[in-house]
Amino acid sequence: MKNIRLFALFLTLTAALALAQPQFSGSLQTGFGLRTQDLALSLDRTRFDLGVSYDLDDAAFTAELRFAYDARTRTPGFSLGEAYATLFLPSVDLSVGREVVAWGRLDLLSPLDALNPRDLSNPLDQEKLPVAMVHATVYPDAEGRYQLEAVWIPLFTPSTAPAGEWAPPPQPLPPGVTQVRVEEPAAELASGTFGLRATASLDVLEGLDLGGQVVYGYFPFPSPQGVEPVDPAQPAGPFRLVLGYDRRTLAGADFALAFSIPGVAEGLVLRGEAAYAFTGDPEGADPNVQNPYAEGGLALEYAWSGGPTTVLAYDLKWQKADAPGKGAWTQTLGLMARYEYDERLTLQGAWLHTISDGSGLVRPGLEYAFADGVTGRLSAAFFYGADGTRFGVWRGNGELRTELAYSF
Amino acid sequence: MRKVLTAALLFSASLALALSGEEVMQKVDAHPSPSSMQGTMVMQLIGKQGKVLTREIQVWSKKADGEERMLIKFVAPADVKGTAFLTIKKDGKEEMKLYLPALKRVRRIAGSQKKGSFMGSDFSYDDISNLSGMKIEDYTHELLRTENQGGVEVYVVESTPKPGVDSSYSKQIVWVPADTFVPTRIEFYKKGKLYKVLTNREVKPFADGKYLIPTLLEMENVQSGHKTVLEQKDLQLDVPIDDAVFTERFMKKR
Repeated sequence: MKNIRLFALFLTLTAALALAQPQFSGSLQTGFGLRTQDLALSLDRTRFDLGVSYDLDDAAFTAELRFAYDARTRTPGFSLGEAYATLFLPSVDLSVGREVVAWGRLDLLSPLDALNPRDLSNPLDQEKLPVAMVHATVYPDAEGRYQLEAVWIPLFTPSTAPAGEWAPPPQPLPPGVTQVRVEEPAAELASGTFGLRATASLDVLEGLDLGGQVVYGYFPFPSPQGVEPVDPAQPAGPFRLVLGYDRRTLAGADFALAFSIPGVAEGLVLRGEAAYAFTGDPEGADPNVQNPYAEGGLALEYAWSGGPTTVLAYDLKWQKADAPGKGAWTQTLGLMARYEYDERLTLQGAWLHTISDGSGLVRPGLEYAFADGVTGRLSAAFFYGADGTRFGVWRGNGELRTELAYSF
Repeated sequence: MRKVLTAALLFSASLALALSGEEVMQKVDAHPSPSSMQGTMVMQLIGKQGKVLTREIQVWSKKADGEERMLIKFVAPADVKGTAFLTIKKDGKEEMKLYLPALKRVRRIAGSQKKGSFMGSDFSYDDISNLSGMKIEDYTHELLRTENQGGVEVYVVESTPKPGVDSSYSKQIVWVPADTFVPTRIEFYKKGKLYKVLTNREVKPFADGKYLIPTLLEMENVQSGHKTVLEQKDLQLDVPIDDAVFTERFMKKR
């Protein structure tokens, strides 16, 4: 009986997919990069992304497959990108599968956009990693002014740490410690990540969006949890450092407000986010558990008449230190600009500066549309700052990059 | 005596025909406009050298209860496919939101972007949302002259924004044929200098002639030498469009 049901389901799905007529899309991208310090090849890769989607009236399915070839390491690789199905119910969208979800409002530094892990192996390319999740969005009113989102990510996926020339310098191990073991949360129901987000769009000034959210998840990178004997039969050592992923509950709020200053500037948008991370060690008493932190940011966007659209951003982060130390404050200033010179050429740039340690990153770039769907990009990245500072550690990794992409 | 009478009759007839700038623009505005519109727009962006880029967009618009709503979704080229732009005008306020599929986020965008280029074209966001016509009460209209074009009298009206009105242009000069009262050419000025010229190349009747809709428009930026040809295709007027179309939920749908 069960087999008959499964067969019927298979037939129904096949018929539905055949009727839906798949749509294919994708892109072919190739890029080369030179390190500014010594003009060594820092990037030589080709990527082919293929996407397929089925759209029905009340449901949709999408999947993306990536083939990448890194010519520097001569390594080919296949990966599955987003792959999820969505059911459109009268006032609920329900998605199941590998998905990327963006929460928060800020682009440059977003403390709330923390649901998906990131691939930071090359921090210049940081991409969100799709993860398997159940994602529901409820639209309680017909105008769609209010939304309630819920996400459940059953399995933990860590972020990918900076690798190769981007990896942080190795830290000396404590005396007697000879190995390191990284322990990931067990694949069980209790290890999941849960998130809830509510948003409202209100008729205040020229429009106000408000959001509030809470995510019960993990820190993206592991931290020391203690040491253990390499051989349990020899409790006196040698020892192994255990790294693990601490839980955090990230709660926060955000807004976007459109307004004008009469006679000075028309049509500005101010965006903001504030977040607090609760951890298992609120007092900073346990050196083996990560401490709470708070982070907030503001960004002001304005399009200059006949000129660029600019975003001026400010971010402030407080990190509680282990007792009896004092907390650390980090202030970051950001500036982004984008200017469409004509229908083909777009100039853009971003600058991030950490006020607290004087380090920063400058990323100028331009994009040129050679033809419909064929785009060339030229960009650079320059890091500055002293050794050991936030961006200064990558001072030698400045890059000049050229990329060509064909989308279909 | 007969000649004098004829001259008097012609004079009084011409007086009756001579409309003021305000009256001309009122006649333009009096054209019935559909309560809703749905269709496809194909934009050809033509550079100084004549090279062409093409954008294809789907458009839904609706007017009801003093509110104007418009949703635009990009269909082509592939690298911008899925980008959606929503505007809601109500009580003199305008909300603008943009969905960028790469970021998977709906963003409220700055009203100052209204004056910027609409996806690299020679139309601004403002031009696109005003395709159905300018808000005539925000302008003072002065008849500059009349011209005879192929036997048709054409009114040339200068429209200047009233003090306090936030307009992208310092003035507009509009050519209005007396037989249709559908503008055929609009010159846009910035700081007194000619900036762009919009030409309605084709005007088609819809709903048994109830509506006259420009279906082929050309916007030329005379300062840069670029132009954009916009063709409205598969137009459906006065069709019921669900309010759900003008929501973030629909913007995000593929």
